[in-house]
Amino acid sequence: METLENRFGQIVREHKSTIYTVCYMFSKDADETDDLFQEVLVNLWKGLESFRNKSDIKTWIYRVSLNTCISYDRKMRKRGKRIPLDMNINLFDAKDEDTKQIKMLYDRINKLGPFDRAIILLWLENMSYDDIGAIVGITAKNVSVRLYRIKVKLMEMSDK
Amino acid sequence: MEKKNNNDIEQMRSQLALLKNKLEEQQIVSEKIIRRAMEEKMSGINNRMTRLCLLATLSIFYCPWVFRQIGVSWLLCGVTTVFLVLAIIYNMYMRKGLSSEVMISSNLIEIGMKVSRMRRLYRTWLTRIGIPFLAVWTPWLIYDISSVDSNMEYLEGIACAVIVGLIAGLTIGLYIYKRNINAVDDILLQIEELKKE
Repeated sequence: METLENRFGQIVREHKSTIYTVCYMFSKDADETDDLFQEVLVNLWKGLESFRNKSDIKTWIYRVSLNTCISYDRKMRKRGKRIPLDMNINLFDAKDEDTKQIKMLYDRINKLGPFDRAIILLWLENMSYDDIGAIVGITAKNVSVRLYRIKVKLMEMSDK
Repeated sequence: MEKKNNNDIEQMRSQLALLKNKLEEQQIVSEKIIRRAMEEKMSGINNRMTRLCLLATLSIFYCPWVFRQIGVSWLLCGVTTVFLVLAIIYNMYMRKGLSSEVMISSNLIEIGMKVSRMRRLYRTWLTRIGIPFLAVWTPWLIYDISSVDSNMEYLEGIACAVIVGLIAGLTIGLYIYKRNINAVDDILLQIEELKKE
């Protein structure tokens, strides 16, 4: 029989890159990424029992990750007792060409506000307007309007 | 302009794909995740038990006072107080060495032994101490009250209150017991699986 812990472990293994990407885009340094990553895992664990496949697992993971990252109180950072669940990677220290490219993406997205950051991230993942709307809690039409404005902002940024 | 924008977006998509590929190569040790889950479970058990201890501490002062108001004997008041004090001490003894930090740092065999011990003591408390005590205490309480006042209406009222209180207390107690035992069983099962790995 599959225990909840096994299922949780499997979900984390399968979706770690999605979770970590969201955490990375919402943090200021590598430590904060790890803190956020742990916080998201805790929230996923807390919500797993009540999740029961009501929606698509990826949508749920995005919703929990984005909500956690947007509402994370940086002043309340908990340290000490936690188990380091971080991945052994530092995306803020651009040493190779790949990491430079990733940092470039980070720099672009990080200039946007948290809500816009969430929308563009989901859109870059090729999600439909309906799915993006379901995750961030707005209508598909609103998603399309906001995306248009975000694209304009991004274009202005690259022109500077 | 439109073309430049599309190129930018495509570049961002490929950068995101690069990031995802890099992260996919990373490993998170499953034991850490599972230990974290065990820690959460233990923390839940400890919180519930601590709340019960606080309730028992309040009852140490409240019960004798109420009992004296309705004329219950000093002996029963004393026995109730001693039982409550013992319940608190037993509760703390049962959980000795089982903080949530232990779940993170101790070795699995040690945790398994401590958790099994807690399960055994918890069961003993319920089946050999708690329920037998209540089986004696409840009729004693009703007898004590009935010897104070023989008014049937008053007696019926008190008996009713005692039975309702008893059923409510037992229901809550058994619910907490079941939740804690389920959590303990989950931890033990998890330890077994981790040992296999």
